[in-house]
Amino acid sequence: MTTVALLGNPNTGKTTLFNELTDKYAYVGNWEGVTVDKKLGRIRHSEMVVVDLPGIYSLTPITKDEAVACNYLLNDSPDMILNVTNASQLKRNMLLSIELLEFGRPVVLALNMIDDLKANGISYDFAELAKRLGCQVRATNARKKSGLDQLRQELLATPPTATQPLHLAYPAAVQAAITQASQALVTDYQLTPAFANWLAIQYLNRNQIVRRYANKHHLQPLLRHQQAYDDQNFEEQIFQTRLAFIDDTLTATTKYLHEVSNANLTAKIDRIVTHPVLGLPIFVGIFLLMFKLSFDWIGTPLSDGLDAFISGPLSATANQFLTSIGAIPFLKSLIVDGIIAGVGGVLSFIPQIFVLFACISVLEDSGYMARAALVTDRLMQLIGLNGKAFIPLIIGFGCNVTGIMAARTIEQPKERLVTTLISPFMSCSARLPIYGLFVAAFFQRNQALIVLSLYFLGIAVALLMAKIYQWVFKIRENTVFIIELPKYHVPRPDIIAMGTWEKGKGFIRKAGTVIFGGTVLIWLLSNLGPRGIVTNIDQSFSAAIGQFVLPLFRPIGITSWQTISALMTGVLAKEVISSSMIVLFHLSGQTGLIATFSSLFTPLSAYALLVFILIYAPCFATLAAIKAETNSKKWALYSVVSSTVIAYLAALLIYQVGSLFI
Amino acid sequence: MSLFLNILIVAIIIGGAGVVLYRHLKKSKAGSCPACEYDCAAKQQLKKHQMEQHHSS
Repeated sequence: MTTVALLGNPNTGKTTLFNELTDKYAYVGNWEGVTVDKKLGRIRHSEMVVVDLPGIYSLTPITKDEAVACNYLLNDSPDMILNVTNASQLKRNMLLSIELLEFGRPVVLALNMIDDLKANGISYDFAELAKRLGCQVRATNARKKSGLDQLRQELLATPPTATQPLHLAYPAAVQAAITQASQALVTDYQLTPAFANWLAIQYLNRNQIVRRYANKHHLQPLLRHQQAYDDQNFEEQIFQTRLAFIDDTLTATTKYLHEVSNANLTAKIDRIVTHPVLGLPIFVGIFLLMFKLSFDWIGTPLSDGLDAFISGPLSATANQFLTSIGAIPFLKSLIVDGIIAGVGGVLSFIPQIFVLFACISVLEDSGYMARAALVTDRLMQLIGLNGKAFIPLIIGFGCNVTGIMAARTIEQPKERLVTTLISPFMSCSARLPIYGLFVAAFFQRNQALIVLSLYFLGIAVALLMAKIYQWVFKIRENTVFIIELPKYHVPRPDIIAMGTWEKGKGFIRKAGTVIFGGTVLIWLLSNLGPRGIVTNIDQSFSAAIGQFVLPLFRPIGITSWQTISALMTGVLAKEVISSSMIVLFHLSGQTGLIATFSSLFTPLSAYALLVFILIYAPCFATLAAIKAETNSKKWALYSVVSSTVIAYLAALLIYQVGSLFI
Repeated sequence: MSLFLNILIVAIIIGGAGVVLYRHLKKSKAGSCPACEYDCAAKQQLKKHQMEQHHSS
């Protein structure tokens, strides 16, 4: 079995290429950090396995991602390397290519996004480029699926045997050090000449992973000269040599097709959307548009239709059927008032959630999300975080667990911890059904605006807490945020459809698992009491639990024990809050919902409750993720306590101050 | 439908709910990747690999 390592800079279309080559769909986006995990895929009709490694700028690691790639080369030694580059950014991309070509394995260089390059009036003499680099060069456009068959054929035809590594003309002192060290490594440690040569170059280049490897394997020819290498600043000399080589190579191989205006479309759009003043309002405007589509224009009408079907014909038919077969009232209530009303009630929000996910997929595929990170970087800098923290935070809009995992891309441990702790404040999609329930009842004319305000309140609380943590943890390191701004694309419908489905199918799956389980649990608790089956819900276990803590919640405007009991089930998963409320309040359809809620809440107390739901204790899966990522139960426990306290204080402030005016 | 059948269906539903909740909590407790609802390519490949290993053994 031949192993191909897929390596390249971030945002070169590596993941798209991986999906196309391996006939396996993977999430496609412009995010840095999407491919944090190593992914394996088999090329169709072959025994060739492609390993998708995180996007990196060089093998000298700064981040955890880069360390993964370097460690892979050191320890797994792939048979071949597929180096994906952005053809329009070849000068910068080739810094990594050189390091890979020096590794001594066959390299196939894919010049991806070739159409963008040609649109700029530039092309390359591929034969000359291949000759100078000593590898195969193929032009591709993964998004349009062009050049992929040729690339696949090239990979299958390339013999997976060691090849002559690229030799650059390093300055005499550097070359002498490389030669001396690599010869000793070959003689004393039986390393292959190519690997020894690469190891020596990387060691001289202060690659910390390679230095750790040398320490671990006691590679004395390198270790004993470390000080001398560093004193002579070999790292800078290596960098300059590589840069000169790239300049020479590109000058000799670049072909100008025609004159083009510098002001291309991407630059024109970027001048507006990344504008220091306009950038942020545009970002807010795009989010408002997204919520308008989800809650006002498309999502809600569809959700209403689905809700009418579930609470109407479906419930009635199920009820009639159960009566006709002689089901006892307990079973009928469990199925109709419990499962159909509870699970069905949450499922009726599917259109809203899918419209929102489709919008997010459009933003990702168009290339806007990278700009959003850039725009928010300015805001984040004011807080002391960098824009990189925005990426896990915005991923947290989908699911907080995924967001917390994405925080792995942040290299500074303290910054990573802060991002992990503030991630649960991001309003995940699981909270959408409960928002939907309340905005439909109290804010019918401003549904999108209310939901938007909750999302931004979540961001504001997260940023405020980040500032406090910065001060408490005494974080002074200021890491630089670099993000590739890909060219804008017209979003591809199949990528949007797949992205939406990939994000949304978890919600549907949860309906059959935790939402179903949670709904049955709350139904049982509301139908059973200390004396067995109860006919009056006020005598049930759930009433006893809710009434016990109700006095604590009166100051924030909650006057019903049902709300408290429903909030408690949110620890299972946030969607369960909605199904629990539907079961506990016996809500059925929009009219019943508005009638029930209007006697228990005012618009102000409803908003205070939504704020509480936004901020309070994360769900169990998020807590487990915090524990796993911080390696500490203490932080998970801290997250429960701190977020519940903050949620209470925020809701209290809104309700009490609001009561003075409303 | 007999009372026994009614009780049996209730028991199956409640038992099923108990099982899915137990599985959910167990999966969540396992930490980041298993707790994540997103069925990413890495997970799909891992499942495929596990299935292949299962068939070959």
